[in-house]
Amino acid sequence: MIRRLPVTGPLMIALMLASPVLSQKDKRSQPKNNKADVLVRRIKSYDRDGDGKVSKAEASSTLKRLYFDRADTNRDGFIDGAELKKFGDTLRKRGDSGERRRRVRRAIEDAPFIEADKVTDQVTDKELVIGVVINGKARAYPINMLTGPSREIINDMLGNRAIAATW
Amino acid sequence: MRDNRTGMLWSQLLGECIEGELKGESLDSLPCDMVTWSAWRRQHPKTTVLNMSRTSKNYSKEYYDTKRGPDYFCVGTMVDHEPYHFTFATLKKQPLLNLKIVDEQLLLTFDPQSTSSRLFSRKLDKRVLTFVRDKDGFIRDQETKSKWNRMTGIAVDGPLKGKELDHRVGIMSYTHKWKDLHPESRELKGEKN
Repeated sequence: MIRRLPVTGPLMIALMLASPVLSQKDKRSQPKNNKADVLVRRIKSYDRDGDGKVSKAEASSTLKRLYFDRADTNRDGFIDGAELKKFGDTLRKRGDSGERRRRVRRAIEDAPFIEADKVTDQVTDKELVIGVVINGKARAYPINMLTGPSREIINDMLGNRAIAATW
Repeated sequence: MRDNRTGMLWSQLLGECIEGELKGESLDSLPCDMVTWSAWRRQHPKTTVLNMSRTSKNYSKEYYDTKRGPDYFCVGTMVDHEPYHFTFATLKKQPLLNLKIVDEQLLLTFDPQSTSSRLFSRKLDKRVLTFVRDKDGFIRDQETKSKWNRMTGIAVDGPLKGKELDHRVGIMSYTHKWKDLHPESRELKGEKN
C-alpha cells in the first residue's frame, strides 16, 4: 500500500487526539482486500462532487503522478466509471495493484524527551518546532527530527491525553 | 498513516480514516504552533522536547526566507466544515486580522519575526472583542482597552488581565498542498472578506 499519503506535504502538520472510540473498536484483523480493489475504491473516493467521475482537480498529487494518465484512457481529464472499471480489470489481470508493496513500519511510541534546560545542541534557536500545550504541559517536536516516512508520526502521551504528532 | 493493529489507513493531515472500519470518522485536531525553538522556549520555559537523532537540517527560520515567495505558504483552517486559507503574503501585510467567517468570530495573528501565526476565537464570555495593534508586538482590544499578547492570546494588562482567548486550529502548510487537499478552499485576503 501507499506508505506516504497522497496529500502529505512536508509542511503539513496536525496534532491529533485519538478518540476513545478507537480503542473500543480495536480489532486485530481486517479481511484482506484485493489490492486492485482497494486502489479502485481509493480513486473513486476522490470524486468529491459525486458526479461519478474523478477530475484532475479532484485528484491528489500522488494519484495524478502515478495513476491518472494510465486510467484516463481517452485523455479527457476525467477518470469515469467505465475507465476505472477497466483500469481495475487490467491491474487484476496483471496481479499488480500498481502500488509499491506495503512495508509495515514500526510505530514510534515512548520516544525520548528532555527538559528545555537540558538542551545543548539537540535543537538550535532558529530551528522550527511544532509546539503543543495540553493541560498545562508543553512539548516541542523539532521538525528536523520528523522528516522521512519512518519519523512522520510520533505516538505520544501529554497531559494525560493520547496524541499523535504528525508531519 | 496506518494503524498497525487494525490496518486502518488514516490521512495524517486531515486526521480522517480513509480505509477500514472507521472510514469517514476523524480524530480531533489540536491547536499547535510552528515556531522557532527559541520562541517556543521563551513562551514555555518548562517545555519538554523530543530528543531523537536529526533526519534533516533544513527547517529553520531561514526556510521561509528562501527564494520561495510568501504566497508559497499559508495558514489554513476549517470553519463549519469548510476550508479557508490565508497566504503569508496576506499575513505579512496584515499581521492582525479580526475575522467573521460564517458565524465564527476569529482573530488571526502573525509574528513576522518568528514567522508564526495563531488563530483564536475573539469571543470572550459572550462578548466579541475587536483588536488593534499596539506597541512592541502587543495588541489591544477596543472594547476594554486591555493589552494582550498576540502569540499566547492572554491579556497582560487592563480590565481583562489574565483572561485567555480560545485557540483554534490553524494549520501552516504549503499553499499548493493545502489546495491539493482542499480544492474548494477559499483564499481570504483580509478583514473585508
